[in-house]
Amino acid sequence: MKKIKYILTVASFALVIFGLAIANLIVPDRAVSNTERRELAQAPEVSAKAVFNREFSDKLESYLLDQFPLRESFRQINAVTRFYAMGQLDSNGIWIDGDMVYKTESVTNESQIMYASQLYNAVIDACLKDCNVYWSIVPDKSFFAQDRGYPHIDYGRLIEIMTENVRGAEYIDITGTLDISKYYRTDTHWLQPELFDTVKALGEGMGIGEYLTDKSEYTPHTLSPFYGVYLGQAALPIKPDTLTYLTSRYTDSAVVSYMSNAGVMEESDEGVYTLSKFEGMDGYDVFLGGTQPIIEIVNEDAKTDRELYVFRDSFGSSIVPLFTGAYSRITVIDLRYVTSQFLPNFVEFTPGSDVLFLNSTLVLNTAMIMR
Amino acid sequence: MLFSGATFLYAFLPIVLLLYALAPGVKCKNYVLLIASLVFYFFGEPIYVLLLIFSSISDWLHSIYIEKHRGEKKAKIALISSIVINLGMLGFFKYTDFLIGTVNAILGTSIPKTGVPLPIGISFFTFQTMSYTIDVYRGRAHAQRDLGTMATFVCLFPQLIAGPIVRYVDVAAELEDRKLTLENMALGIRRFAFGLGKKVLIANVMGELTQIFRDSTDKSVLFYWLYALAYALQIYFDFSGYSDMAIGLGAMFGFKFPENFNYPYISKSITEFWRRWHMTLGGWFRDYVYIPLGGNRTTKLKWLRNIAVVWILTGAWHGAEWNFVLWGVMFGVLLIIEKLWLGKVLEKMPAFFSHLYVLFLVVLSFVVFNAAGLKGVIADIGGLFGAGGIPLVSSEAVYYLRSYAVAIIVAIIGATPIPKMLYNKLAEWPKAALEPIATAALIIVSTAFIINGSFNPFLYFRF
Repeated sequence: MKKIKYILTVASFALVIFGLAIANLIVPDRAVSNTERRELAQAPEVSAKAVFNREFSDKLESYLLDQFPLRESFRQINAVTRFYAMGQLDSNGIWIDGDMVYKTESVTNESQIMYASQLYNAVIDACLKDCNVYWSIVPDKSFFAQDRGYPHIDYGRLIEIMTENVRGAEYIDITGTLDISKYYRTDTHWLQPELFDTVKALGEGMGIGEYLTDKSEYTPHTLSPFYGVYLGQAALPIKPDTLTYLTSRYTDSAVVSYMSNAGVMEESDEGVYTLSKFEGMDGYDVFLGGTQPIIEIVNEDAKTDRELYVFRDSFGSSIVPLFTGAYSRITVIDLRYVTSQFLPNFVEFTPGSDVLFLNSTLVLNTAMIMR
Repeated sequence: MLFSGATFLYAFLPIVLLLYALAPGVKCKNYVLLIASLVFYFFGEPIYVLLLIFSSISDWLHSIYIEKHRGEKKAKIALISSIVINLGMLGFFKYTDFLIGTVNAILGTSIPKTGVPLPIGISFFTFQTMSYTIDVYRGRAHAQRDLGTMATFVCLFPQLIAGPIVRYVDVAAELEDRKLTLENMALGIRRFAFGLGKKVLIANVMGELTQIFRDSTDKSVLFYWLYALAYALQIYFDFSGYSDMAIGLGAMFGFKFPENFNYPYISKSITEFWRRWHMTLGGWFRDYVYIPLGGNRTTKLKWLRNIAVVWILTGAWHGAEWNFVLWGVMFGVLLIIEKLWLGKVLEKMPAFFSHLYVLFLVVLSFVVFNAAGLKGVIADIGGLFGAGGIPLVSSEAVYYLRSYAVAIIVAIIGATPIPKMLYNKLAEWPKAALEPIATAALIIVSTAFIINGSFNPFLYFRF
């Protein structure tokens, strides 16, 4: 019996070690992991310098880990073991409730939140004195799961710091217009078709409620599968989402320009939805082309000739198209990618315009990424 | 290269096992192991591999000279020369900047530090080579005439960088003649897989928790204790897991390495703890420092001095920082107290209390061990007892206690002989089915954790 045991032990070990080593050689390398939404490490180049400064050995390890055969299955084994066998409440900060995926945020960075309020004030003082300035906060998903015992931002304190310190702007509270069902299961972002109450609250706050496009005038379009940012991090067998975007005659007629690397506004062929980006790293980049420092949306068919400037993060990308019927020109600015000091070089703020600061709790809590 | 890395598991190890199996005869197998070991070390230390080669040649020459002049003064001079070279290397690479820093702090000078990085595993391989020449001098071992065989002993990758500290006499016979048996191979594989699991599935998970504590801004007394417990478990499973992997690899190549751990956390005294923790280091200091100083067969004062010397050296061996010295001194004092008085009290005490006594002090000791210098010791030990006005409980501490509860309980049970005892009660036939499956499953699940995780250091590499 012992001999059989020894033979089986050696055989199973050889099968795993040699099998996976050979599979590693045979399986072609992949460039991208769709679920993790990142580029995978490629075979490192061998050079004397790389070998002697240990860059080669470090890169080789990263390469082997990234290109490991059945990598996705191994990641699932890890996640399932952690969640179900070891009873961990989260894995790398990711936790799940049914098939809704959340991310823990254990630190409330008061200094960063204070910085955000000061940055808003600085922009208002420098550029927006003659404008109607509003600000709001987009709650992240954990806002709606505060009673579940998972680490989260102290939202009360965050809102308190912002309301106490932002000057010269009116706060529009949109938290009551949202609930967890209005967010993607596998992603951090909200669902565009579920934002009508939020758009209404913001529109009425800015005095353009009557010009908003009615829900019935929109046509939904779907793209799938949409691998949300948390899906890859969770590595659990959760179904991907379906991304939905809304079109109307106003979104269709809007002319969109993006600021190029040279600092020049260039007109896009694709309008407010950049469908070509769906197959990229982040499907949510469909909305206003994803990461962009400055975007200009001009709509000659708009119901008013008013202008809107939106300082936003990625949440803003999906809500801004729903304002295209109410404003003739919307300028979308992301202070993570354009420095506020240089804004007057790129944007001319028209006096009397509306301005909306709309960043999420996640960005406010790490506000020093804005400049 | 880490035993728990993809490069080792799925590139280096299969190639070496294949070449080793194909190599005819022990001499040829030794050369396969030597080249593999040099490649293994070169991957982590491309320059310092020369140090390893130098160390092998130096002790090879010294030992031959010692044996040639056995009984003469020349042998003693050669022994001293060998020890000076080994300790000189260790001293230069490990302690120069520590001494400069200490001198600067005391005298207010600003002598620039050398900034020379510590060669991985230098504390282990210098101790191994020193024990070899000392054993040759004492006549306990014959000088190895073949440089290749000698270098194979010094560089042997399974135990090269984090032990167990294998003495030449432990493997002298196997270096000359060993057989690769199915039983050794299977038991080696089982031990290796078990060690890998201990390292990746428990130590790394506990390591994540200690890192979470370090990064947290929501500290509390509970969180400090959770950290202390997690670190005590991490260091045990990290180091004993590495030792298991080393012993397992050794068996796969036909060597029998000495055991390094024997369930230290079930000890009922600190004296017993050190008979069960890092046994090869304890044995080394006993045989090459404590006993030559006179051991306990001397006056009481000298005996106490001998204990103090050994424990200051043990502390300093672990790291060139004052907290390591303090850690060693702490154990030295505890051992002296136990030998003079407390030992007898502990023997009469109910087992529960003596276990509690050991665990409390060992957990505290590892907080000292892992602190960032003496200031860190004060902060961390203070935190355990609520210094600085921190709350007793914080929401983060409660959350992470809940999140890691199962892993902690599994680790605590795993640190006792209970799982082994239960397993041994099984009949042979379920073991025949269970062992191969468990071995493969451990490697697969560990691989899954390795692929997914970024937290994968070995704590004892820095020593």
